[in-house]
Formats: sequence, C-alpha cells, structure tokens
Amino acid sequence: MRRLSMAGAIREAMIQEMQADSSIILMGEDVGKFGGAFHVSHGMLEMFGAERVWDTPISEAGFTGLGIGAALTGLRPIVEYQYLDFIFCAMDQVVNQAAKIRLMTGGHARVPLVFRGPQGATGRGAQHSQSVEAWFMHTPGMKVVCPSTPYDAKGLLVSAIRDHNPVLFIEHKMLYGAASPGGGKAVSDSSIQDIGQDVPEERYIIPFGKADIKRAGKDVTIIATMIMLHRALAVAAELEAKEGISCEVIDPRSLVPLDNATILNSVRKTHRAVIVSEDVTRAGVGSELASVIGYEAFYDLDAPIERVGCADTPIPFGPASEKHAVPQTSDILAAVRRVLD
Amino acid sequence: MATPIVVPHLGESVEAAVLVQWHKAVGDTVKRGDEIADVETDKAVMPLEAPQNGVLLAQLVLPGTEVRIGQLIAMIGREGETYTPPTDGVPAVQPVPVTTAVMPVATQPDVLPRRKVSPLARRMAREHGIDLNSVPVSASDKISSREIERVLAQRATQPLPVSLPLPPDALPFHRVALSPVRRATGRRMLESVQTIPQFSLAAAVNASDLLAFRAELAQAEHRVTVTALLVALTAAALLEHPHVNARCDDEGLLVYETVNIGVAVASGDGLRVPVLHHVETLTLGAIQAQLAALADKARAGRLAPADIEQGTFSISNLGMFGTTAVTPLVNPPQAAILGVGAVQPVFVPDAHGQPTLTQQMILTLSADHRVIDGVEGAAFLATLCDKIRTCRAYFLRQI
Repeated sequence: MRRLSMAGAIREAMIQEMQADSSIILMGEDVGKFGGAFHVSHGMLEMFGAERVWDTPISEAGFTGLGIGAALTGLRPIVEYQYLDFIFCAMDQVVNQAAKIRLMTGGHARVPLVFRGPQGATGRGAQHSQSVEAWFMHTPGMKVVCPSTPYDAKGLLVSAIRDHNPVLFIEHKMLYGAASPGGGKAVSDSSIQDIGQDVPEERYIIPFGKADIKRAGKDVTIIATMIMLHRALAVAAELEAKEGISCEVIDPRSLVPLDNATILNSVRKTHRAVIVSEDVTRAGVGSELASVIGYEAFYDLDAPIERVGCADTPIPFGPASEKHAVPQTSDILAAVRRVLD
Repeated sequence: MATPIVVPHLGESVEAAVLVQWHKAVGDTVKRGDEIADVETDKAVMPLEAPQNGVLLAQLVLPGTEVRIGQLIAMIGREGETYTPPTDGVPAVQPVPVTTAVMPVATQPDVLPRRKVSPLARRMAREHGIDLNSVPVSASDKISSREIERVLAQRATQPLPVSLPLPPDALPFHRVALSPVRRATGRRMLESVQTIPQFSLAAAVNASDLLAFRAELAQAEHRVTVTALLVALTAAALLEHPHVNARCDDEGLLVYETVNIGVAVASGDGLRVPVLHHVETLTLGAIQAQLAALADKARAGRLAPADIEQGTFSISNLGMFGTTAVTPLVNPPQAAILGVGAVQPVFVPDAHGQPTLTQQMILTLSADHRVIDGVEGAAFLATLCDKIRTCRAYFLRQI
C-alpha cells in the first residue's frame, strides 16, 4: 500500500469512480487545464478529456445549476468550488433546487450530485476562510461529509459519488497535504500528525453515518471534525502523556447523517463531552451535537457540554488575529479542563 | 428600599419547613396580610402573609425546597423596583419576617446557595439513596459522579447491616420520598425508643356497656365515636392518676393540672397527632365536635401549630382496622400513651362459671418508667377499665 495525501486520496477516488462509471463528470473553475486551485484534479483533463472534465466560467450559480440539470437527466456530476465560501453564490441552486427536488418529487427524480471543495481558515481572509457545514446541516435533503484523513476521504467520496442525493463533501485546505510524506503540507501546522493510514489502491466504501473512534479513552469524549480532529488528538496525546487523562476522540466523518449511537455510547462512558469544530460556535455543529447529547444522555452527564468553535466574527486576515478567532489546541485543552473541573 | 422576607417562627421545636407553593408571582401586587406562599412543617401547612403593601420583587426559593427558620425567601418592594441578589449572600437591609398565625421572631437571614449537582450525580444519588445534602462538594464547589463514587466507596468499607446480606440494588425495589410528616414521626419515635425507658401493660375490658351507650346516643341522633368516648373516660381516669398525666425533666416530674389529649390521626402523608385541650372541661358533645374538626384538618394537612402543641397524654386507636391490640411508643415528652384495639365478641365466664358473650377491647398503656411504675400504670388502667364498664352511669352523672 501507499501513503497518500488527502488531495491524492480524493483525486484517486474521483479517477477510479470515473473509470468505472462513464456517467460521472467533473466540473468547476480551473479543474481542467490548471488541475484545480489546489491541484486536486491534476491530470484528469488529460485522462478523461474535455467531455468529462469541464472548465466552467466564473459563475457558481450558473455551473451549479448546470450540474443539477445534468444530475436530473442521468449524469453523476462532481461540482467543485475553488473555495466553499463561493457556494454561497449558488445558494438558491443548492438549497432550493438540489436539496429539494428528490423529496418534492416523492423520490421520482434523483439528484446524484457531489458538491466538493476546500474550506477553513488558512490566512486567506474573511471570504476565503469560512466553514460552511452548519448552513447545509440546516438544509433538509443535503448530506454533509467532512473527512479528516486520506483513508476516510477516499472511502467517503466513493460513497458520495454513488449516493442518489446531493452530498456536500467538505475538504479542509490545511489537510490536503496531511499524511503525505512526499506530498508536503499545504500550510505547516504542528498539530497535524501523520495519522493517515495507508490508503488501499483498490476502491472501498465508507458508509455515511458511521463515526470513527480515532482514539479510545475513558475520561472525556472529544468530538471533532477535520483539522480540529487533529488538534484534539494532539491535546489527547499530551494529556495522556503528562497527566494520565484519557480522552476518547471521535470523528463523526459525516454530520448528516450523524452517528448518534457512537457519540452517545462514548458520553455514557466518560460522562463529559467537548465538541470541537471550526465553524462559528453560534448555531453551529457544536450546538446541534450538544443538543443531541444533552437530550439523549442528560442523566449521564457530569459537566456542562463544551462547544469549541469559531468566534462570532468574520475570519480576520492577519495571522495573529486569525489564531484568536479559530480554535487552537490551547482552546481545546482549556475546554477539556473545564469539563473535568 | 426592598424589604426582605424571611421564614418566621413556625411553632415550638420547628427548625425547618418546606415551601409548598407560591401564591404570588414575581411582579404581583401584594397587600399587607395577603398570603404569598404556603410552608409545610412536620406538623402543619401554614400560609405566609405579606408584612406590607408592595410588589413581589423576587422569589428566592423554589416550591418543594426545604427552608430554615430565618431564611430569606422573597423580596417585596415598590412598583418598578428591581432586586439584585447580593454577591456576598448578605442583604444590605435588615429582614422583616412575614406574619403567620404565630408570633413572628426576627432572625438573621441565612441564604443557602443551591448546590451544583451534575445530572449524572443526581441520578446516582437517587439510585443509591444518597442524600445530596450529605455529600461533600468538590474543591470547585460541585457534586459530580466522582463525589458520589467517593460516598459509595466509603459505604463499601463500612460493614453491611446483618439484616441486609444483599446490596439493595440486587433486589427489585422503588424509592418513596419521605414527607416532612413521616420524617418527623421517624425522628420522634427514634427519640422515644432511644431516650425513654418504656414498658407496656395490657388489659382486656368488657366494652358492652360502652357500645350500648353509644348505640343509645345514636338513636337520639347524637353520634359519637368510640375514640371520643375513650378520650372523655381517659381524661377522667387521668384526673384520678395525675402521675400518668405528667412528664419528667432533669429536675424531676412535671405533673400537669389539666388534661390535653393528643389523638393519632392517619393522613395521606403520615401520622399526625392533633391535641384536644382541657378535656376535663369539655362535654362529650364538645369532645366529639372538636375531634371531628381536628381530624379533618389533620387529614387536609392544615393543622395550625396550636392544634398540635402542649399534649399531655396520647391515644392511638387502631380498633377500626380490626387490630386486636396496639402497643404504642410513648410520644415524647409525654409520659404515657394508650393503645386501643378492636372491639371483639368474646365468651367469658360469669360469676357462676357460665359462658357469657361480651364485647371485649384490649387497652395497652405504654409508659415512661422514669415517671410511672408498673403499679401506677396498672392502677390507671384498672380505673379506666372500670369507667368503660360503667360508662353509662358515668356519663349520666355528668349530665
């Protein structure tokens, strides 16, 4: 087996699925000749030709609508956004059309469509740094997937491509290079560990709604997604090594559908929960998960549930300010200490 | 300036009460004398009255919470005024106690902070029967499962009671919260067996005359209960044996010169003992009427402190439930209590040795041996039995 970067794993999933199914197409700004803004689709134009890898005009609303129409008429498009911030330009297409058509037609019309692209704060300013998952968790009809490792990314993307419903497949910019000894890291971050399992060459599926316990523990449950999972793992390792505090770190992998059972089983064991996600804390991922835990496991809780997320602010451009707005390992550590108090 | 409302004196030996319900909500206008809340002591439910006109600014305890005498429970102020809880727990103004039927006594307020108990800790405490008030809090002033586990670990190191070979969890069970009345009964009875050297004497008495007399009264539309008749006869017997109507303290005996008889009444949430005062001065009709009124109040939980205080002797009649004999525990600080069993038809030999059908009742006197000797107790019982056997003559003499 080979060790792949997250970008490599996503690319491989797309290539292998497109080889197996000629109805799959890839479209987006610069996905063809340029190979994608983050080089995720590098070489795919040459591999599949301009019939199946389309460079689109700079109009998210336009090419998203194009993708939805293609999906309704028999293709399985993968629609890439250079930054997921730009999906907001196509909000009507995604929320009012893609997410609703299958349900409004009683299942007669299928919308097998993947919206994918990078998100997260990486020094690029307020309009290129957001975390969009909560917007679409709030949209019935959408599935929301958020891998944190190359292995999960490949298996989940295969599931997303084969799903008959629109799936938002979120890639964190900072993780594209993770776990790739050869691939380098997009932005250096000491908390990103080389946790990537070797990625099998053959295709495999990771079903939605199956959380993964990335680290077993007994004192505190930390539920974290994407880059925050890596920071949570760093905190867990430090606490275990220095203080013998044992954290269980859970990666939901898909936020819609959500694997309530794995999360609740863990909380029933540890009695303490910290939820870490990069989206804005208010009405965000942490709010939803906290309410699930608070309702289903109330009498198993020993401390208020902690939500660690982004500050109530646009992501600032300055690197120092960005660090203040976005959860760091120190914020996660502080939250773990609060639930253990 | 807002006026603090504290729990007033609620009767002798009452240290705590439960705030049952609020009658006024925050923001409601209150007039002096309006009932703002009900509190229940181990003896009665009593309304708390507003001491002045104004607006209820704050309720500081939840219904169902135990409150202590002198505890700050509410604030009354002017329209538009707001109340901010003091950070150090001591209000800046002197408290004014609310008024009740009894004399209010001003005391320092004592605000107990609500303890922070995690949901898991609360559940564990309930499952293991742990009183959360007895659990030591953590350094951060909280109770989590760790604090409960510590209590359980301590329990585990203590020897199990011999009567409980299995941990309680191994058996199917459910818990029932103790009402204030049950708790009080438990405390008093434990005090009774732990502090009073008591003994019991029993006598079987022919109650045929008593029942016949009661039936005659009923025919004349005067309905009296067996208990009322016994209260009257007991008062008469006590006047002849004053040491049974007494108590003792460190200095000696206090022999009462009036007879106040407490009558045990079962109410939904436990045993209550309302007291008939100066029974020796009451006619049978008055005894019956007062007894019925007190029993109604007891069953409704609305006894006032005056209804339950200053008993000198008690009667516990379980005859109506078919119990043949009752051996009661002395009700401290009294020196004696009479247990009354059911009236039963029994054949006894008459003067010629021939079986005669009689209506027999077993009376049991439990007494404090520091006050009464066996002989005195036996003499009292004999007098009482004699009065029961000849009750018609006794009551007719009274008329």
